[in-house]
Amino acid sequence: MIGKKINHAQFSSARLARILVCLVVSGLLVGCGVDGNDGDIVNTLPVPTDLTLNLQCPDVGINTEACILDDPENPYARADVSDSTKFELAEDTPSAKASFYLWGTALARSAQGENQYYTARALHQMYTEGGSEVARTQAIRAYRSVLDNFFDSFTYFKVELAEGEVFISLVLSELTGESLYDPLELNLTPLYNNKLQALDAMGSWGYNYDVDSGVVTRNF
Amino acid sequence: MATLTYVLKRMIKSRALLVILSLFVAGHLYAQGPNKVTTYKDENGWKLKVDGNDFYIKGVVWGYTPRGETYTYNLWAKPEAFIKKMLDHDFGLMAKAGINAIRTFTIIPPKWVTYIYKQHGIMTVVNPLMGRYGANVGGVWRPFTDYSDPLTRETLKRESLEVVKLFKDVPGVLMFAFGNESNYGLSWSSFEIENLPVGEQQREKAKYLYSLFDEVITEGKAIAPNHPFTIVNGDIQYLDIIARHADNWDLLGTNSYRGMSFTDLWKNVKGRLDLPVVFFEFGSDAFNAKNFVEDQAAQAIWLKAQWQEIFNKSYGKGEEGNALGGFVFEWRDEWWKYLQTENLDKQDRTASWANGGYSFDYVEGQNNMNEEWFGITRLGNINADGVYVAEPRTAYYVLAELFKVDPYNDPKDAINRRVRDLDMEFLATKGEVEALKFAKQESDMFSLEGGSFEAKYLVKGIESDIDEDGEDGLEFSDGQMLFLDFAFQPTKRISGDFSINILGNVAESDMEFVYGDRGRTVTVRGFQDPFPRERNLSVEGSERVEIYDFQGTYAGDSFDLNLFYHVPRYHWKYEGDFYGLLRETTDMDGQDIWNDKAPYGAEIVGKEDIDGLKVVFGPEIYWGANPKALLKYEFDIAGAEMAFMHSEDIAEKDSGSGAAEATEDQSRQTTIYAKTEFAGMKLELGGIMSAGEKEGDKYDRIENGNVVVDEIEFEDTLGAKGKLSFSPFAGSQAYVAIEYAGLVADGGDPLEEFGTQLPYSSLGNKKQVEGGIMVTTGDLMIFPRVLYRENIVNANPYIAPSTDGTNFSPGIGPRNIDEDPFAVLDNREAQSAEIYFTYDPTPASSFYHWNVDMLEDAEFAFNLGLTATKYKTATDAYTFYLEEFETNAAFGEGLPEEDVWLLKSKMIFNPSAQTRFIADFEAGKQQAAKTPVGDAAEFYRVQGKLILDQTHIISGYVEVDGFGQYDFQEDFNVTFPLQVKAEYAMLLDSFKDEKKSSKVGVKLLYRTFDEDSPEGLYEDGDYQFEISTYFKYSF
Repeated sequence: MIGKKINHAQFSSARLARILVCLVVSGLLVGCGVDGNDGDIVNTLPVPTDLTLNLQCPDVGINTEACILDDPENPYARADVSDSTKFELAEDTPSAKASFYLWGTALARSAQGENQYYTARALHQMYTEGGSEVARTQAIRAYRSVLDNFFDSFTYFKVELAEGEVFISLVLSELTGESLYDPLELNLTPLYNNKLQALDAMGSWGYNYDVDSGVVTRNF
Repeated sequence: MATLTYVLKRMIKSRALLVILSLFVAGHLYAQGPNKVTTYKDENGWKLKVDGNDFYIKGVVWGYTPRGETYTYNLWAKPEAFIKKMLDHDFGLMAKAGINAIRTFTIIPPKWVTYIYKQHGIMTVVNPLMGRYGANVGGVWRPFTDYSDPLTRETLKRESLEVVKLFKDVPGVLMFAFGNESNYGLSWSSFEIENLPVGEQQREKAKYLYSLFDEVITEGKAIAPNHPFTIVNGDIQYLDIIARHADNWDLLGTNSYRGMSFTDLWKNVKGRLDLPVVFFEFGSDAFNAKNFVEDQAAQAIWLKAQWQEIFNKSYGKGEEGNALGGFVFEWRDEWWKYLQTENLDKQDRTASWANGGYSFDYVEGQNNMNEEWFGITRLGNINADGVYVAEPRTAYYVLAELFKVDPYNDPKDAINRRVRDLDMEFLATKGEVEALKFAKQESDMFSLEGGSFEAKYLVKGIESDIDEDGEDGLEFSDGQMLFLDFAFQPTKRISGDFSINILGNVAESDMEFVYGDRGRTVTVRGFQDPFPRERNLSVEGSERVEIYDFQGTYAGDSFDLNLFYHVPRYHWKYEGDFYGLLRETTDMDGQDIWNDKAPYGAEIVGKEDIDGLKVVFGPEIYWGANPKALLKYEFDIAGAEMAFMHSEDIAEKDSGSGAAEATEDQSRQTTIYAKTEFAGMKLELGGIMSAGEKEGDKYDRIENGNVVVDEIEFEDTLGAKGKLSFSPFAGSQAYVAIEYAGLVADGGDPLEEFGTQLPYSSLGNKKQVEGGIMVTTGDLMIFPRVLYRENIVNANPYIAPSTDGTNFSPGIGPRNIDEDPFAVLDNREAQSAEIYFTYDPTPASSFYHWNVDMLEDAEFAFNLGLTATKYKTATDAYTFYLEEFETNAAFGEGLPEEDVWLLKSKMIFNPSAQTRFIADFEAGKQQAAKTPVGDAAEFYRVQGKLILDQTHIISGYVEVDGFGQYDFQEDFNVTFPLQVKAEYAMLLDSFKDEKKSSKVGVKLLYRTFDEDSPEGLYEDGDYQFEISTYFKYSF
């Protein structure tokens, strides 16, 4: 009796059409997506060998700033720069600038004292090789960051002995003190006009450098 | 002796002896056999007679749901002694008021129908609801009953007649009634009816409904000829259709909420039906939605007027003469009715529907009917017998006076005089006295509600210490903890409660994390690498006292404001949250062991003009959430239910949740959802735009052997999904779903139902198809499901970076969500199939309810499921939260490809109402959740709980080669060769609730170690154990 009021054939077709439209739309959704042909091939990248330091941001190379990862000159920005690769990569860096990007990247990824110290050393090396005032200023700030943020940290050197490999620990604050006070010992150009200025600078930051023992202590 | 004979003769003459004898035989006064209940009609009108005597229905709608419980509460599964105490409390109070009949929404077991009748003289209407709120037809639960479907009709008729057969000879049965306002629930759709105009659609459906009622009543009367039969109609809608089917009916049952008067109902029924009328529901709520206060007087006034009219329409009053009485809705407030699963221990004051017949609080355009306030008694506090008492309102006392009337025989003017002369002020005073008592208990501006004290004594040992020192190698410790629960209600609209936790000593367990560990001596590790310095710090005194949880509500006219802090909150997946953006936070025990305090925030629920709008915001609105705000608006377009949602992170969470759960980047999502039903099918469509802030972010991938760096683009933030649910044949429910989600189109928790273990993921970067069909045959449900998923971009392999002169090869490595815009994790390519068998003879208590262990009421029910998944690709790297450095860290690699499987089964036995046994079995081969270290391993686990006499609880588990009991152990692939737990607890009070009761118990934990166990433990020996005894006093 109800069937008199409707046309079953039309009705069913309309319903079927609605369902089909929904399924087709949904199917298109599933079928779409990236085609995989976009993007740039980056199997190799040039490593910078010049001595010009372009600051990506004012605090680049200083803990906890990570803008170095956005620096277009930084070839290491997307690479696996980690504890297991950084020393090996460091051995192969062809320039101080490359070294700065490597250790700066390591620092941005992992806030460790040795990453901060070697970032400072790379900046110091750039200043030594090119005399860039920007590099000098940034190196001083990076050294200070070692003392401020990683005062108790160590780094290690691997020494090959007849008995086998031996790891020697070095206190980063002492290395930092030496780099600032007497960098010539490290074949680096002094960042200050004289040693007293270096001591004054460390003192103004709150640290004492014992020139005899090489130990750095806090004033606070 | 002669004197005695004389006295007896005089007493017999004066019928005084009958009265005295009745006192002696109380409890045996009523018929021992089945009652004969008939209707009677002469020129003065209608009467109802029980065993030949006039019987005027002075009834109430009765049910018992304690605070904190919902409609699933089953009084009849409780110990017999408790049931008697409960019934004696309620029905004793009813009998005092002259109440002589009840109607319930559940079927009271026959023995208790008779008990109520014989002990208290109160008769019961047996009222099968006949699919009013859904029906199990052919083994499939159908939420909208299709009364035109032959199988449905056959099923409902068979079930209803079985009830009639069961009760036909039960003493105390007043009558049989079917449905409950079923004319308001004609919601099914079908090809035949859907193209009719809306009004005609409903009438066509109604014809099916009433013809089925007629069939059931006609056949039912042949089975039980000594009882009247009727239906429970919503008011007198479709009276003309009813008239065509009511030849065999004895009366018309109706629920009517017309206000003070039933107006022309009497005349209309008399004009169209030659049947008397019984109200199965009528009455008034006792809450004034306009003034936002309890309004006992209004409820009493409305009920008085309604009863006066009913009396006047009775036999011999010169009017229609077709009133046989009625059942006031309802006996006692029910605190579950608004929202039904939320705020169960609070009486909600939200008005949920509007009715102009209740002028005392009606405001045009606003709701005024408060579902949780219809009782003529309140749901009071628990008494010494464990019963939540009924506390009379003024209406109770008014009814007690009104029910002294004999409506059949008292003259009309005498009835009206009695009603008019009721001392309402005096009765109100009685009600107010009760109200004051109640207010003292419930509504003090600030009150201590209760609490608990727990004490624990623990002994522990590990093999190396015991070998070395013998008994001296054991360590002992004790713990104490106090909870105090407070409530407040400073104004009419503001209320809430909170708990404070106070720690004494803390038992020093090495095998369990428990709430209260914040009071333990903690080891703080210096974070200056590479030599962490450790030192022990004692807990600060202030940490021994903390707010454990808090909730508060402001109930406004146009919105409610709910504040929440560490109280359970549910997801919105059934109200338009298709992508699960608001995750559920109900695992409070799981949080407590880490002292996490989610959910934490505020919710605004729109009413009136902004009905459908919900906004929730706060520091952690679900466990692990960033501080965020989330908005949802539900609306209809052309009959389709729609929902719009937006979620915006306001900041990033400053620490991980749980043991090592990584924090998530600040992000945002917007979703749209539409649902429509047609031809018995349900179609759901949704779209998402997620993580727009990642547009422009770079990611790398391997493509044709090259390392490619690409950027996230707008289309990578988009996703869509659709789901079609339908019934391909009788006794089945099937669904197919497809989903596309762009690289960063992350959603929330997917909806997982019926115990599925399919590898769903909230992450984007996927194309996914799934489907399943639930087939029910008898009491057995079989549910196979499949899921297939591909990634748009696969996980990265590891290629080490290298330098060659001035050329650097950056290589590539697994992504992680901390450093890359996306990562392939649990959304990785998967081919998964699953089949679940569920045997449950009582499907009304769903086997997949979260609390099925306590709710399942079948003598025996079980499920058995197998899920097998092929992961053909590896994942990128998972991250975890490194507490020492307050940052996330990534595992160096992802999980490798693997085939995994999981076999699960739960069995529940209820050999008697007071004994329950629950067993869970699990076996499988599973990967660690996050770490790539270690292989996937097979494991076996058995867990059981035996509850005896609802008092003694014996529980435990045995697990071989399984992960530890905590998520982080699965994350880091920490396993133990053997883990055992055995526990005995005895409940000490009448709550008979494992969580709420006072109890005493003892617990043993034991586990062994191998190289996959924590290194420090393995070095200390082969095993470890702890035994703890505990006592908890709840008050």
